[in-house]
Amino acid sequence: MAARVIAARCRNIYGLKKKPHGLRNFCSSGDPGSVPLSQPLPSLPVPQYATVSNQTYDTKITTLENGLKVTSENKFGQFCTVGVLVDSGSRHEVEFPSGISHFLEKLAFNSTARFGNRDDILQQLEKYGGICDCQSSRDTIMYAVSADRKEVEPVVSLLSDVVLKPNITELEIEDTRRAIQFELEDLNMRPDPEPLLTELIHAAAFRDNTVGLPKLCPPDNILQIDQTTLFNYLSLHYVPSRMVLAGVGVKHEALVEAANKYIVGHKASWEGQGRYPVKMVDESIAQYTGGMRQLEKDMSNISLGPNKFPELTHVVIGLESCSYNEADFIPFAVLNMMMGGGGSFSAGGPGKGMYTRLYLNVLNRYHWMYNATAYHHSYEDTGLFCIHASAHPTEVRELVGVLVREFVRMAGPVGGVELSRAKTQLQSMLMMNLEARPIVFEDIGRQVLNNNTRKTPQEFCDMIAAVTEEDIRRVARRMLETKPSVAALGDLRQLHSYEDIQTGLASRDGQMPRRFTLFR
Amino acid sequence: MKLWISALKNNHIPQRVLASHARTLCCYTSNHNTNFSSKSTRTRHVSNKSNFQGKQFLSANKPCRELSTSFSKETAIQNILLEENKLRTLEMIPKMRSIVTNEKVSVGAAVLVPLCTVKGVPSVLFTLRSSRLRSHQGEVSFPGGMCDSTDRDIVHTALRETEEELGIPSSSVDVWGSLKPIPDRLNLQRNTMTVVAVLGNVGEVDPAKLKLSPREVAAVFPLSFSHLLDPARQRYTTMKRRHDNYSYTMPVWLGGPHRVWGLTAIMLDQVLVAMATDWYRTVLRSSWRQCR
Repeated sequence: MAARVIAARCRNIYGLKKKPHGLRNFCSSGDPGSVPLSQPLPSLPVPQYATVSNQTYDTKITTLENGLKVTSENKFGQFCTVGVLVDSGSRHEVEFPSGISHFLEKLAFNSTARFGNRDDILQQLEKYGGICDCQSSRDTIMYAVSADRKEVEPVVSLLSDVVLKPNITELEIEDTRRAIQFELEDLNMRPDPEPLLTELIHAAAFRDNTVGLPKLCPPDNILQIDQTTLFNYLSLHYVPSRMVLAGVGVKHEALVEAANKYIVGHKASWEGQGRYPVKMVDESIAQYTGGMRQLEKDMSNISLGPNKFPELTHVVIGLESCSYNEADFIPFAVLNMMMGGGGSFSAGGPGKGMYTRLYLNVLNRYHWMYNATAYHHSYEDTGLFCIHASAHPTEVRELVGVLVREFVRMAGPVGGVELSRAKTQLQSMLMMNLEARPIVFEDIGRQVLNNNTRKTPQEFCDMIAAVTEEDIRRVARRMLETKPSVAALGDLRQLHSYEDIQTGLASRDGQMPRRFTLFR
Repeated sequence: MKLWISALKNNHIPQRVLASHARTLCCYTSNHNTNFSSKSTRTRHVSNKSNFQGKQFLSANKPCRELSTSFSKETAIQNILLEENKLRTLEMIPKMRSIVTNEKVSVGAAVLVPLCTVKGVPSVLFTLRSSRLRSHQGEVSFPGGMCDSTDRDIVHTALRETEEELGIPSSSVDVWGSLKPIPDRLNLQRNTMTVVAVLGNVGEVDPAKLKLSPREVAAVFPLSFSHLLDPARQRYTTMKRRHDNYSYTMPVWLGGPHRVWGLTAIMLDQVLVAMATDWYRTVLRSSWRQCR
């Protein structure tokens, strides 16, 4: 009894309301117990249910009056992805020091006119449950934000700030320089030299021009790039006619309205800063030249831990393919899928499930081959089809012979099962990837940026299904008539000369010319 | 204005009037003893002593026409292979900027730029190099090759190689002249070989009927002058030489069966500057930068 009185007095002192024992307060307005089950609770948001329907959401495209293209697809989901894609990349850096795109990628989402630093931006985004990212490639740079579906306007306003009004202070540039230096050192020390090899093969295939220019900042240029150079580059390339605002999971009208409010008519931070030395955008067309690039490197002691990593020499052989605008692009993609390949650890032997040509003919047959993978890089005006293989330095002669034979065999007969497997794999890879929202965003953004239309996945599937054996042999023949590009990394003592590789690829059966050497 | 036009039609043209309106006149006939000369370098110079050769073109003897309209591009292209333009071209060549700087030159090579008409349309003939050749396989080029010790001069080399590769006899080629030498590779370290382009008119040609040498030539195709002078078919590529502060721009021609780029495009660019000065602006450009 005394306890109850004391408790009552305590509650009165602290002003606590007396709550009935056992009931917790869920509803801020009124008693949930008083609302019948047939009515929705008053303070909760109205639920939106997914409908089972065959309606596919179309991609809508609008061009605003300043040249900016706005595109969106209203995919169902709680979150949306909105971003800006700009037609700017390492291929446009001819008149500038190479490496500007690398800098811009690292400098993205830093201080702007409205936000003091990156932390402010991330805090703002946190309110919407959002994340942000910037990715640059050889011909495009993407700034993307994923956030809750309802918050389109604040997200577009943030994007406009980040893309058009960055401050690029001296401190940020210093930090970026250090980050890039670290990244370059890290790449050199890694056992897996994939990025280095991509740079080398592009530099070999497109000597000194557009797509062959380095994507990673060369070490000499790290100190040369400063705010003036960056603003000069931005003033030429970050113009509305070269940009696309893409959104997935948003209503098109809402996105257009937000674009009109936050992007159109806003002044960029580099305007009015005076005259810049470089005045014209480079509109070079990519020129495939072929050629060889070698990087001698001691790969014998590359492991960073106690376990020894095998010493490997990496060789990439490439030929010109076609741009993604041409009709032959789909057969090349099927050919790439048919060649397939990967690491020898996955090969596992027959029955494991790896049936692409590079697995069956190369990795399952030659135990010394560590990996053999086919890649297809395709750009607006050119393309590169290459095979990357690696083995111990003593096996390099054999390795090149094997690769050349595989290339020449691409123009030979194609099995029916092999072809249909490749087509089905490509179709399913396409459809499975397009279930993910960020990938849909990148797809619609890139397509609209380059072609002003968007081909639906269904159209692509139909085009893939229409590929025949004759198409594959025709594109392989077309490829074999171009000059080869070769990139090699590691211990290169046994590597063939470029002319031998050329002769091998031009021969009918893919046999390398025999060289009589006294010293093996 | 009207008086002037009628005066032109009667060919009583005051010298000073012509001097100031030199650009807008066109007169492609040798029947009149007209001698226009002007202080400006963009003169239309017509010789009154033109001697026509056997295979000539229909428009040669047409009287002056279209004097009231300005000089049109189509007319220029139609008449681009005529004697008048030939003399104009030969005058223009020495005035053109030389691409070779003071690099060491070694063995020379010569190519023939085959100016021709295909079904009456003035064109230039190109060859597609065979994939079996080691250097520049599969690329578009002009017929030609390295100078032999037995050759009398550069022109002889070009004609001999053309005969070997395309089967066009040397006697049927009306040689106009040769352009200034162009270096084979813009590489300052190695010895650069220079190539001389020889302009020659091979007349009416049917590309399907030419006897090609299969070891060297995979295909032959013409591109008309209207195609080559169409700005929509032309792009450019700027190359940046690594480790150097040097960048250079080269033209590229698209739209034909094969892309024309590289050394062939440079030569074609020079040819068009020489032959169609008013309708073509050179794309070749090179620049050194302070910092890269």
